[in-house]
Amino acid sequence: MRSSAANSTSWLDSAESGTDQLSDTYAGNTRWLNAPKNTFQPSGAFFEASSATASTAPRPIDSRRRAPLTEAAPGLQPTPNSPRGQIAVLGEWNGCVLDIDQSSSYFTASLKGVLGEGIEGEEEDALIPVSDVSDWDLELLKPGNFFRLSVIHEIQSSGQPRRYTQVVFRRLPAYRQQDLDVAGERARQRSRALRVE
Amino acid sequence: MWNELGSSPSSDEFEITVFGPGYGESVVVHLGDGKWLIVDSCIDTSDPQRQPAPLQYLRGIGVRPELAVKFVVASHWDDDHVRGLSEIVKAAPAARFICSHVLPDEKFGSFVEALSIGSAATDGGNVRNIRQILEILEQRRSVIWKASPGRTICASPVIRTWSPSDYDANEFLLYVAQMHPRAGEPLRRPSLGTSNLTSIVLSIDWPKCSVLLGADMERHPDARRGWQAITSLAQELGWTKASYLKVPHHGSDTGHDDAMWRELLEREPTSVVAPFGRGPRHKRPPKSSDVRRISELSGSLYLTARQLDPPKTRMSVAVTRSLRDGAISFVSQKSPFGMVRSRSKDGSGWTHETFGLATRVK
Repeated sequence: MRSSAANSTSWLDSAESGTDQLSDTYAGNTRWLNAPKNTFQPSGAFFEASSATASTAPRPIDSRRRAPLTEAAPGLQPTPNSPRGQIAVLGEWNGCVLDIDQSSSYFTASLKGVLGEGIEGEEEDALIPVSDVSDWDLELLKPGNFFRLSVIHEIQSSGQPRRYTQVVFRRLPAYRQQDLDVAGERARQRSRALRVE
Repeated sequence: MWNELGSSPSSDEFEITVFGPGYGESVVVHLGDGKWLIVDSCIDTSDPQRQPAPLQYLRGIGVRPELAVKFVVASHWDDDHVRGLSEIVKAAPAARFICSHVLPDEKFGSFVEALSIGSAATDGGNVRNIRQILEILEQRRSVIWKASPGRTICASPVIRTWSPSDYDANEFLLYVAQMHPRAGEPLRRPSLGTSNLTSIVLSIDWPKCSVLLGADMERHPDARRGWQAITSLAQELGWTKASYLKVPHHGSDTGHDDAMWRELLEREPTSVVAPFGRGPRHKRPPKSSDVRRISELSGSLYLTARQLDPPKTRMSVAVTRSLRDGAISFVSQKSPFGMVRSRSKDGSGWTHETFGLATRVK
Protein backbone atom coordinates (compact mmCIF):
# COMPACT_ATOMS: atom_id res chain seq x y z
CA MET A 1 0.00 0.00 0.00
CA ARG A 2 1.29 3.41 -0.87
CA SER A 3 1.60 5.91 1.89
CA SER A 4 -0.52 8.98 1.99
CA ALA A 5 2.42 10.68 0.41
CA ALA A 6 1.70 8.88 -2.77
CA ASN A 7 -1.94 9.83 -2.40
CA SER A 8 -1.10 13.45 -1.97
CA THR A 9 1.31 13.30 -4.85
CA SER A 10 -1.16 11.87 -7.29
CA TRP A 11 -3.74 14.19 -5.87
CA LEU A 12 -1.49 17.15 -6.61
CA ASP A 13 -1.05 15.90 -10.12
CA SER A 14 -4.76 15.61 -10.66
CA ALA A 15 -5.22 19.03 -9.15
CA GLU A 16 -2.73 20.27 -11.67
CA SER A 17 -4.81 18.82 -14.44
CA GLY A 18 -7.82 20.74 -13.22
CA THR A 19 -10.03 18.09 -11.72
CA ASP A 20 -12.55 19.02 -9.08
CA GLN A 21 -10.27 17.88 -6.29
CA LEU A 22 -8.58 21.23 -6.39
CA SER A 23 -9.78 23.78 -3.93
CA ASP A 24 -8.85 26.78 -5.99
CA THR A 25 -7.78 29.00 -3.19
CA TYR A 26 -4.92 31.25 -4.11
CA ALA A 27 -3.40 33.57 -1.58
CA GLY A 28 -0.87 35.69 -3.34
CA ASN A 29 1.55 33.25 -4.87
CA THR A 30 0.54 30.43 -2.61
CA ARG A 31 -1.83 27.76 -3.79
CA TRP A 32 -3.85 26.11 -1.06
CA LEU A 33 -5.07 22.64 -1.67
CA ASN A 34 -7.44 20.53 0.38
CA ALA A 35 -5.36 17.67 1.56
CA PRO A 36 -6.81 14.23 1.20
CA LYS A 37 -8.12 12.61 4.35
CA ASN A 38 -5.93 10.51 6.56
CA THR A 39 -2.82 12.38 5.73
CA PHE A 40 -1.37 12.26 9.19
CA GLN A 41 2.29 11.43 9.03
CA PRO A 42 4.68 10.77 11.83
CA SER A 43 6.96 13.70 12.19
CA GLY A 44 9.78 14.40 14.53
CA ALA A 45 13.46 14.20 14.83
CA PHE A 46 14.02 10.85 13.21
CA PHE A 47 11.30 10.28 10.70
CA GLU A 48 9.70 12.51 8.19
CA ALA A 49 6.48 12.00 6.39
CA SER A 50 7.37 10.46 3.11
CA SER A 51 5.36 12.77 0.93
CA ALA A 52 8.63 14.27 -0.08
CA THR A 53 9.80 11.01 -1.43
CA ALA A 54 6.71 8.92 -1.99
CA SER A 55 8.31 5.84 -0.53
CA THR A 56 6.25 3.17 1.09
CA ALA A 57 7.65 3.63 4.56
CA PRO A 58 8.89 6.56 6.58
CA ARG A 59 12.51 7.17 5.72
CA PRO A 60 15.17 8.16 8.17
CA ILE A 61 15.88 11.82 7.87
CA ASP A 62 19.13 12.64 6.19
CA SER A 63 21.31 14.58 8.60
CA ARG A 64 21.41 17.44 6.12
CA ARG A 65 17.64 17.64 6.20
CA ARG A 66 17.05 17.52 9.92
CA ALA A 67 16.51 21.26 9.84
CA PRO A 68 13.19 22.59 11.07
CA LEU A 69 10.68 21.10 8.73
CA THR A 70 7.90 22.26 11.00
CA GLU A 71 8.83 25.89 10.74
CA ALA A 72 5.85 27.82 9.49
CA ALA A 73 6.10 29.92 6.39
CA PRO A 74 5.85 33.64 7.03
CA GLY A 75 2.24 34.62 6.86
CA LEU A 76 1.16 31.02 7.19
CA GLN A 77 1.49 30.56 10.92
CA PRO A 78 -1.29 28.36 12.17
CA THR A 79 -4.07 29.99 14.15
CA PRO A 80 -7.04 28.35 15.80
CA ASN A 81 -8.90 28.93 12.55
CA SER A 82 -6.18 27.66 10.24
CA PRO A 83 -7.43 25.30 7.55
CA ARG A 84 -6.37 21.99 9.02
CA GLY A 85 -5.57 19.18 6.70
CA GLN A 86 -4.60 21.52 3.91
CA ILE A 87 -1.40 21.95 2.01
CA ALA A 88 -0.07 24.93 0.13
CA VAL A 89 2.41 24.85 -2.70
CA LEU A 90 4.82 27.70 -1.95
CA GLY A 91 7.04 27.14 -4.96
CA GLU A 92 7.07 24.81 -7.92
CA TRP A 93 9.46 24.12 -10.80
CA ASN A 94 9.49 21.88 -13.82
CA GLY A 95 12.84 20.17 -13.94
CA CYS A 96 14.90 18.14 -16.36
CA VAL A 97 17.83 15.98 -15.23
CA LEU A 98 21.12 17.08 -16.77
CA ASP A 99 23.68 14.93 -15.08
CA ILE A 100 24.17 12.61 -12.13
CA ASP A 101 27.18 13.12 -9.92
CA GLN A 102 29.75 10.33 -10.10
CA SER A 103 29.30 9.63 -6.43
CA SER A 104 25.55 9.40 -7.13
CA SER A 105 24.79 11.60 -4.18
CA TYR A 106 23.59 14.60 -6.19
CA PHE A 107 22.11 15.26 -9.59
CA THR A 108 22.11 18.47 -11.55
CA ALA A 109 18.98 19.69 -13.22
CA SER A 110 17.67 22.52 -15.27
CA LEU A 111 14.58 24.11 -13.71
CA LYS A 112 11.91 26.45 -14.94
CA GLY A 113 9.78 28.16 -12.31
CA VAL A 114 6.07 27.47 -12.48
CA LEU A 115 4.64 28.92 -9.30
CA GLY A 116 5.69 31.07 -6.38
CA GLU A 117 6.93 34.48 -5.40
CA GLY A 118 9.85 35.42 -7.66
CA ILE A 119 9.88 31.94 -9.15
CA GLU A 120 7.49 31.92 -12.09
CA GLY A 121 9.32 31.95 -15.44
CA GLU A 122 12.80 32.00 -13.87
CA GLU A 123 15.34 29.49 -15.15
CA GLU A 124 17.77 27.93 -12.73
CA ASP A 125 20.32 25.18 -12.55
CA ALA A 126 19.99 23.11 -9.40
CA LEU A 127 21.97 20.58 -7.44
CA ILE A 128 19.56 18.16 -5.75
CA PRO A 129 20.38 15.27 -3.40
CA VAL A 130 19.60 11.89 -4.91
CA SER A 131 18.24 10.98 -1.49
CA ASP A 132 15.29 13.26 -2.30
CA VAL A 133 14.21 10.87 -5.03
CA SER A 134 11.90 8.13 -3.87
CA ASP A 135 12.76 4.50 -4.44
CA TRP A 136 9.70 4.45 -6.64
CA ASP A 137 11.21 7.11 -8.91
CA LEU A 138 14.87 6.10 -8.86
CA GLU A 139 14.61 4.20 -12.14
CA LEU A 140 13.58 7.49 -13.75
CA LEU A 141 16.61 9.39 -12.51
CA LYS A 142 18.30 9.62 -15.91
CA PRO A 143 19.55 12.55 -18.00
CA GLY A 144 16.74 13.99 -20.08
CA ASN A 145 13.92 12.85 -17.79
CA PHE A 146 11.44 15.30 -16.29
CA PHE A 147 10.32 15.89 -12.74
CA ARG A 148 8.57 18.43 -10.61
CA LEU A 149 10.17 20.06 -7.59
CA SER A 150 7.79 21.59 -5.08
CA VAL A 151 8.10 23.35 -1.75
CA ILE A 152 5.02 22.47 0.24
CA HIS A 153 3.60 23.92 3.42
CA GLU A 154 1.17 21.65 5.14
CA ILE A 155 -1.04 22.11 8.14
CA GLN A 156 -1.62 18.60 9.30
CA SER A 157 -4.89 17.39 10.73
CA SER A 158 -3.28 17.69 14.15
CA GLY A 159 -2.81 21.40 13.45
CA GLN A 160 0.93 20.99 13.28
CA PRO A 161 2.47 22.87 10.36
CA ARG A 162 5.34 21.42 8.37
CA ARG A 163 7.21 22.42 5.30
CA TYR A 164 9.12 20.20 2.93
CA THR A 165 10.49 19.80 -0.56
CA GLN A 166 9.19 17.16 -2.88
CA VAL A 167 10.68 15.67 -6.04
CA VAL A 168 8.26 13.74 -8.20
CA PHE A 169 9.31 12.31 -11.53
CA ARG A 170 6.91 12.55 -14.40
CA ARG A 171 5.92 9.44 -16.27
CA LEU A 172 5.53 10.71 -19.79
CA PRO A 173 3.92 8.76 -22.58
CA ALA A 174 6.14 6.55 -24.67
CA TYR A 175 7.32 7.17 -28.20
CA ARG A 176 5.04 5.42 -30.67
CA GLN A 177 6.45 3.66 -33.71
CA GLN A 178 4.07 5.46 -36.06
CA ASP A 179 5.23 8.87 -34.75
CA LEU A 180 8.86 7.84 -35.15
CA ASP A 181 8.11 6.68 -38.69
CA VAL A 182 6.55 10.04 -39.50
CA ALA A 183 9.57 11.82 -38.00
CA GLY A 184 11.91 9.66 -40.07
CA GLU A 185 9.97 10.37 -43.26
CA ARG A 186 9.98 14.08 -42.51
CA ALA A 187 13.75 13.97 -42.06
CA ARG A 188 14.18 12.09 -45.35
CA GLN A 189 12.09 14.69 -47.20
CA ARG A 190 14.04 17.55 -45.67
CA SER A 191 17.36 15.90 -46.35
CA ARG A 192 16.40 15.57 -50.02
CA ALA A 193 15.21 19.20 -50.14
CA LEU A 194 18.27 20.72 -48.48
CA ARG A 195 21.07 21.68 -50.81
CA VAL A 196 24.39 20.92 -49.18
CA GLU A 197 27.70 21.70 -50.87
CA MET B 1 26.18 48.59 -22.08
CA TRP B 2 23.96 48.44 -25.14
CA ASN B 3 23.81 52.26 -25.25
CA GLU B 4 27.59 52.67 -25.31
CA LEU B 5 28.50 50.74 -28.42
CA GLY B 6 29.46 53.65 -30.66
CA SER B 7 29.38 53.38 -34.40
CA SER B 8 30.22 50.67 -36.88
CA PRO B 9 33.82 50.22 -38.03
CA SER B 10 34.97 51.93 -41.19
CA SER B 11 35.06 49.78 -44.32
CA ASP B 12 38.82 49.18 -44.00
CA GLU B 13 38.66 48.39 -40.29
CA PHE B 14 38.51 44.76 -39.08
CA GLU B 15 36.61 43.89 -35.97
CA ILE B 16 36.17 40.82 -33.79
CA THR B 17 33.66 41.00 -30.95
CA VAL B 18 33.23 38.09 -28.56
CA PHE B 19 30.04 37.85 -26.45
CA GLY B 20 29.25 35.73 -23.44
CA PRO B 21 28.18 34.06 -21.44
CA GLY B 22 24.70 35.29 -20.42
CA TYR B 23 23.31 32.23 -22.09
CA GLY B 24 25.94 31.05 -24.54
CA GLU B 25 28.84 32.35 -26.55
CA SER B 26 29.09 34.09 -29.90
CA VAL B 27 31.54 35.95 -32.12
CA VAL B 28 30.87 38.58 -34.79
CA VAL B 29 33.55 39.60 -37.25
CA HIS B 30 33.71 42.58 -39.57
CA LEU B 31 35.53 41.15 -42.57
CA GLY B 32 35.88 44.55 -44.24
CA ASP B 33 33.78 46.53 -46.73
CA GLY B 34 30.69 46.23 -44.54
CA LYS B 35 30.62 42.41 -44.69
CA TRP B 36 30.01 40.55 -41.44
CA LEU B 37 30.30 36.99 -40.21
CA ILE B 38 28.45 35.63 -37.16
CA VAL B 39 29.56 32.50 -35.33
CA ASP B 40 26.91 30.99 -33.05
CA SER B 41 24.50 32.89 -30.85
CA CYS B 42 24.01 33.83 -27.25
CA ILE B 43 21.49 35.74 -25.18
CA ASP B 44 22.08 38.53 -22.70
CA THR B 45 19.81 37.17 -19.99
CA SER B 46 19.31 40.63 -18.51
CA ASP B 47 17.67 41.72 -21.77
CA PRO B 48 13.91 41.45 -21.20
CA GLN B 49 13.35 40.84 -24.91
CA ARG B 50 15.95 38.07 -25.02
CA GLN B 51 17.24 39.06 -28.44
CA PRO B 52 20.26 37.22 -29.77
CA ALA B 53 23.23 39.36 -28.69
CA PRO B 54 24.89 39.46 -32.15
CA LEU B 55 21.75 40.96 -33.70
CA GLN B 56 21.31 43.41 -30.86
CA TYR B 57 24.93 44.44 -31.22
CA LEU B 58 24.88 44.90 -34.98
CA ARG B 59 21.68 46.92 -34.85
CA GLY B 60 23.16 48.92 -31.96
CA ILE B 61 26.11 50.08 -34.06
CA GLY B 62 23.89 50.85 -37.04
CA VAL B 63 24.49 47.73 -39.13
CA ARG B 64 21.53 46.12 -40.89
CA PRO B 65 21.94 42.35 -40.50
CA GLU B 66 19.61 41.58 -43.39
CA LEU B 67 22.08 43.22 -45.78
CA ALA B 68 25.44 43.07 -44.07
CA VAL B 69 25.69 39.54 -42.65
CA LYS B 70 27.28 37.34 -45.32
CA PHE B 71 28.08 34.24 -43.28
CA VAL B 72 26.39 32.53 -40.34
CA VAL B 73 28.32 29.65 -38.79
CA ALA B 74 26.76 27.11 -36.45
CA SER B 75 29.91 25.81 -34.84
CA HIS B 76 28.11 22.84 -33.25
CA TRP B 77 24.73 22.08 -31.81
CA ASP B 78 25.24 22.64 -28.07
CA ASP B 79 22.53 24.73 -26.49
CA ASP B 80 24.99 27.37 -25.30
CA HIS B 81 25.99 28.06 -28.91
CA VAL B 82 22.73 27.83 -30.82
CA ARG B 83 20.22 29.53 -28.55
CA GLY B 84 18.78 32.31 -30.71
CA LEU B 85 20.61 31.14 -33.83
CA SER B 86 17.39 30.50 -35.76
CA GLU B 87 16.48 34.17 -35.24
CA ILE B 88 19.84 35.17 -36.66
CA VAL B 89 19.36 32.95 -39.70
CA LYS B 90 15.90 34.44 -40.16
CA ALA B 91 17.23 38.00 -39.85
CA ALA B 92 20.08 37.43 -42.31
CA PRO B 93 18.59 36.11 -45.53
CA ALA B 94 21.66 37.15 -47.54
CA ALA B 95 23.97 35.04 -45.40
CA ARG B 96 25.53 31.74 -46.38
CA PHE B 97 24.86 29.16 -43.65
CA ILE B 98 27.84 27.04 -42.70
CA CYS B 99 27.75 23.98 -40.48
CA SER B 100 29.30 20.55 -40.17
CA HIS B 101 27.83 17.86 -42.37
CA VAL B 102 26.26 16.45 -39.21
CA LEU B 103 23.41 18.96 -39.01
CA PRO B 104 21.82 18.46 -42.45
CA ASP B 105 22.44 14.71 -42.33
CA GLU B 106 19.31 12.58 -42.60
CA LYS B 107 20.17 10.54 -39.52
CA PHE B 108 20.63 13.66 -37.43
CA GLY B 109 17.45 15.15 -38.95
CA SER B 110 15.52 12.05 -37.97
CA PHE B 111 16.86 12.37 -34.43
CA VAL B 112 15.82 16.05 -34.26
CA GLU B 113 12.36 15.27 -35.65
CA ALA B 114 11.90 12.39 -33.21
CA LEU B 115 12.80 14.61 -30.28
CA SER B 116 10.27 17.14 -31.49
CA ILE B 117 7.43 14.67 -30.92
CA GLY B 118 5.50 16.06 -28.01
CA SER B 119 7.67 19.10 -28.42
CA ALA B 120 5.96 21.19 -25.78
CA ALA B 121 7.57 19.00 -23.18
CA THR B 122 10.74 17.57 -24.53
CA ASP B 123 12.58 19.66 -27.06
CA GLY B 124 15.55 21.46 -25.66
CA GLY B 125 16.56 24.86 -27.00
CA ASN B 126 19.11 23.30 -29.32
CA VAL B 127 16.66 20.88 -30.94
CA ARG B 128 14.13 23.66 -31.44
CA ASN B 129 16.71 26.03 -32.91
CA ILE B 130 18.32 23.51 -35.26
CA ARG B 131 14.91 22.34 -36.45
CA GLN B 132 13.81 25.92 -37.13
CA ILE B 133 17.06 26.66 -38.97
CA LEU B 134 16.65 23.61 -41.19
CA GLU B 135 13.04 24.59 -41.92
CA ILE B 136 14.07 28.14 -42.87
CA LEU B 137 16.83 26.89 -45.15
CA GLU B 138 14.52 24.31 -46.71
CA GLN B 139 11.92 26.99 -47.46
CA ARG B 140 14.53 29.38 -48.86
CA ARG B 141 16.11 26.63 -50.93
CA SER B 142 19.43 28.16 -50.03
CA VAL B 143 22.65 26.22 -50.18
CA ILE B 144 24.26 25.02 -46.94
CA TRP B 145 28.02 24.98 -46.99
CA LYS B 146 29.55 22.01 -45.29
CA ALA B 147 32.53 22.81 -43.11
CA SER B 148 35.38 20.37 -43.55
CA PRO B 149 39.07 20.42 -42.64
CA GLY B 150 40.96 22.94 -44.75
CA ARG B 151 37.98 24.21 -46.76
CA THR B 152 38.14 27.85 -47.91
CA ILE B 153 34.76 29.52 -47.57
CA CYS B 154 35.81 33.06 -48.45
CA ALA B 155 38.67 34.34 -50.58
CA SER B 156 39.01 37.89 -49.25
CA PRO B 157 39.78 37.77 -46.45
CA VAL B 158 40.69 34.11 -46.52
CA ILE B 159 38.37 32.22 -44.18
CA ARG B 160 38.97 28.53 -43.71
CA THR B 161 37.25 25.85 -41.69
CA TRP B 162 39.50 23.30 -39.98
CA SER B 163 37.03 20.83 -38.55
CA PRO B 164 35.25 18.59 -37.92
CA SER B 165 37.18 15.68 -39.29
CA ASP B 166 35.13 13.01 -41.04
CA TYR B 167 36.10 10.68 -38.24
CA ASP B 168 34.64 12.97 -35.57
CA ALA B 169 31.50 13.66 -37.59
CA ASN B 170 30.90 9.96 -38.12
CA GLU B 171 31.56 9.18 -34.47
CA PHE B 172 28.97 11.77 -33.54
CA LEU B 173 26.42 10.33 -35.96
CA LEU B 174 27.00 6.88 -34.49
CA TYR B 175 26.36 8.34 -31.07
CA VAL B 176 23.20 10.02 -32.35
CA ALA B 177 22.02 6.66 -33.67
CA GLN B 178 22.53 5.13 -30.23
CA MET B 179 20.61 7.95 -28.58
CA HIS B 180 17.77 7.92 -31.11
CA PRO B 181 14.45 7.41 -29.34
CA ARG B 182 12.88 4.00 -29.75
CA ALA B 183 9.24 2.99 -29.62
CA GLY B 184 8.19 2.26 -26.08
CA GLU B 185 10.75 4.54 -24.45
CA PRO B 186 9.31 7.48 -22.52
CA LEU B 187 9.55 10.94 -24.04
CA ARG B 188 12.69 12.67 -22.88
CA ARG B 189 14.89 15.65 -23.59
CA PRO B 190 17.97 14.97 -25.70
CA SER B 191 21.22 14.71 -23.84
CA LEU B 192 24.23 14.63 -26.13
CA GLY B 193 27.43 15.40 -24.36
CA THR B 194 29.93 14.53 -27.05
CA SER B 195 29.57 17.16 -29.74
CA ASN B 196 32.54 19.43 -28.98
CA LEU B 197 34.84 17.52 -31.29
CA THR B 198 32.42 18.24 -34.13
CA SER B 199 32.67 22.00 -33.59
CA ILE B 200 34.00 24.20 -36.38
CA VAL B 201 37.37 25.88 -35.86
CA LEU B 202 37.85 28.88 -38.16
CA SER B 203 40.86 30.86 -39.29
CA ILE B 204 40.61 34.32 -40.86
CA ASP B 205 43.61 35.73 -42.67
CA TRP B 206 43.76 39.43 -43.48
CA PRO B 207 46.85 40.71 -45.30
CA LYS B 208 48.66 41.66 -42.09
CA CYS B 209 47.07 39.55 -39.39
CA SER B 210 45.37 36.27 -38.74
CA VAL B 211 42.93 35.12 -36.12
CA LEU B 212 41.96 31.69 -34.81
CA LEU B 213 38.43 31.12 -33.52
CA GLY B 214 38.67 27.94 -31.47
CA ALA B 215 34.95 27.17 -30.94
CA ASP B 216 34.57 24.39 -28.35
CA MET B 217 37.28 22.21 -29.84
CA GLU B 218 39.10 19.95 -27.39
CA ARG B 219 42.23 17.85 -27.46
CA HIS B 220 42.00 14.12 -27.95
CA PRO B 221 44.67 11.42 -27.67
CA ASP B 222 43.63 9.99 -31.05
CA ALA B 223 45.62 11.76 -33.80
CA ARG B 224 42.57 11.70 -36.09
CA ARG B 225 40.55 13.81 -33.68
CA GLY B 226 40.40 17.23 -32.02
CA TRP B 227 43.36 19.63 -31.99
CA GLN B 228 45.83 16.95 -33.01
CA ALA B 229 44.04 16.48 -36.33
CA ILE B 230 43.80 20.23 -36.89
CA THR B 231 47.43 21.07 -36.15
CA SER B 232 48.78 18.28 -38.34
CA LEU B 233 46.51 19.29 -41.24
CA ALA B 234 47.45 22.97 -40.81
CA GLN B 235 51.14 22.06 -41.09
CA GLU B 236 50.37 20.01 -44.18
CA LEU B 237 48.32 22.70 -45.96
CA GLY B 238 50.24 25.74 -44.73
CA TRP B 239 49.26 28.03 -41.94
CA THR B 240 49.77 31.69 -41.07
CA LYS B 241 50.27 31.96 -37.34
CA ALA B 242 47.49 33.90 -35.64
CA SER B 243 47.96 36.89 -33.38
CA TYR B 244 44.46 36.68 -31.95
CA LEU B 245 42.76 33.68 -30.35
CA LYS B 246 39.19 33.08 -29.27
CA VAL B 247 40.22 30.52 -26.69
CA PRO B 248 38.61 27.12 -27.30
CA HIS B 249 36.01 25.58 -25.02
CA HIS B 250 35.62 28.45 -22.57
CA GLY B 251 39.27 28.25 -21.56
CA SER B 252 38.91 24.79 -20.04
CA ASP B 253 41.81 22.44 -19.57
CA THR B 254 40.25 19.97 -22.02
CA GLY B 255 40.35 22.65 -24.72
CA HIS B 256 44.07 23.24 -24.18
CA ASP B 257 46.58 21.74 -26.56
CA ASP B 258 50.30 22.57 -26.45
CA ALA B 259 50.75 21.98 -30.18
CA MET B 260 47.95 24.40 -30.98
CA TRP B 261 49.67 27.16 -29.01
CA ARG B 262 53.05 26.32 -30.48
CA GLU B 263 52.15 25.69 -34.12
CA LEU B 264 49.08 27.80 -34.83
CA LEU B 265 49.70 30.98 -32.82
CA GLU B 266 52.29 33.71 -32.70
CA ARG B 267 54.12 34.02 -29.40
CA GLU B 268 51.98 35.80 -26.80
CA PRO B 269 48.86 36.41 -28.83
CA THR B 270 45.82 38.35 -27.68
CA SER B 271 43.46 35.81 -26.11
CA VAL B 272 39.77 36.21 -25.39
CA VAL B 273 37.84 33.75 -23.23
CA ALA B 274 34.06 33.50 -23.06
CA PRO B 275 33.46 31.73 -19.71
CA PHE B 276 30.89 28.97 -19.46
CA GLY B 277 27.71 30.21 -17.85
CA ARG B 278 25.83 27.13 -16.68
CA GLY B 279 25.90 24.77 -13.76
CA PRO B 280 27.54 24.92 -10.34
CA ARG B 281 30.07 27.72 -10.02
CA HIS B 282 32.98 25.43 -9.15
CA LYS B 283 32.48 23.38 -12.29
CA ARG B 284 32.41 26.28 -14.76
CA PRO B 285 35.44 26.88 -16.91
CA PRO B 286 37.68 28.72 -16.82
CA LYS B 287 38.93 27.83 -13.36
CA SER B 288 41.54 30.10 -11.84
CA SER B 289 44.24 27.61 -12.88
CA ASP B 290 42.98 27.86 -16.47
CA VAL B 291 43.14 31.66 -16.37
CA ARG B 292 46.72 31.48 -15.05
CA ARG B 293 47.74 29.03 -17.76
CA ILE B 294 46.24 31.09 -20.59
CA SER B 295 47.61 34.29 -19.12
CA GLU B 296 51.15 32.90 -19.08
CA LEU B 297 50.88 32.05 -22.76
CA SER B 298 49.24 35.31 -23.86
CA GLY B 299 50.40 38.85 -24.43
CA SER B 300 47.05 40.11 -23.28
CA LEU B 301 44.03 38.24 -21.96
CA TYR B 302 40.40 39.28 -21.76
CA LEU B 303 37.34 37.59 -20.27
CA THR B 304 33.92 38.48 -21.67
CA ALA B 305 32.60 38.39 -18.11
CA ARG B 306 34.18 38.23 -14.71
CA GLN B 307 33.30 35.00 -12.98
CA LEU B 308 30.82 36.67 -10.71
CA ASP B 309 28.09 34.61 -9.20
CA PRO B 310 24.85 35.25 -11.04
CA PRO B 311 22.19 37.21 -9.16
CA LYS B 312 20.10 35.04 -6.93
CA THR B 313 16.42 34.70 -7.73
CA ARG B 314 14.42 36.56 -5.09
CA MET B 315 12.21 33.90 -3.60
CA SER B 316 10.23 34.01 -0.39
CA VAL B 317 12.10 33.32 2.84
CA ALA B 318 10.07 30.16 3.39
CA VAL B 319 11.00 28.72 0.02
CA THR B 320 14.64 29.72 0.36
CA ARG B 321 14.84 28.07 3.78
CA SER B 322 13.11 24.91 2.59
CA LEU B 323 15.54 24.54 -0.29
CA ARG B 324 18.48 25.14 2.01
CA ASP B 325 17.16 22.66 4.55
CA GLY B 326 16.76 20.12 1.79
CA ALA B 327 20.39 20.71 0.70
CA ILE B 328 19.11 21.86 -2.69
CA SER B 329 21.23 24.61 -4.19
CA PHE B 330 20.20 26.87 -7.04
CA VAL B 331 22.29 28.78 -9.54
CA SER B 332 20.40 31.19 -11.73
CA GLN B 333 20.90 30.77 -15.45
CA LYS B 334 21.19 34.55 -15.64
CA SER B 335 24.94 34.50 -15.95
CA PRO B 336 26.97 37.69 -16.07
CA PHE B 337 27.32 39.00 -19.60
CA GLY B 338 29.80 41.15 -21.41
CA MET B 339 31.70 41.58 -24.63
CA VAL B 340 35.22 42.24 -25.80
CA ARG B 341 35.60 44.24 -29.00
CA SER B 342 38.88 44.31 -30.90
CA ARG B 343 39.39 46.57 -33.90
CA SER B 344 42.32 47.06 -36.23
CA LYS B 345 42.81 49.44 -39.14
CA ASP B 346 45.43 47.56 -41.06
CA GLY B 347 46.01 44.49 -38.95
CA SER B 348 49.27 45.74 -37.48
CA GLY B 349 47.77 46.56 -34.10
CA TRP B 350 44.52 45.98 -32.26
CA THR B 351 42.57 48.24 -29.93
CA HIS B 352 40.48 46.39 -27.41
CA GLU B 353 37.37 47.60 -25.59
CA THR B 354 35.37 45.89 -22.87
CA PHE B 355 31.63 46.24 -22.33
CA GLY B 356 29.32 45.08 -19.59
CA LEU B 357 31.09 42.70 -17.22
CA ALA B 358 34.01 42.01 -19.54
CA THR B 359 37.41 42.49 -18.03
CA ARG B 360 41.09 42.56 -18.91
CA VAL B 361 43.13 40.02 -16.97
CA LYS B 362 46.51 40.80 -18.49
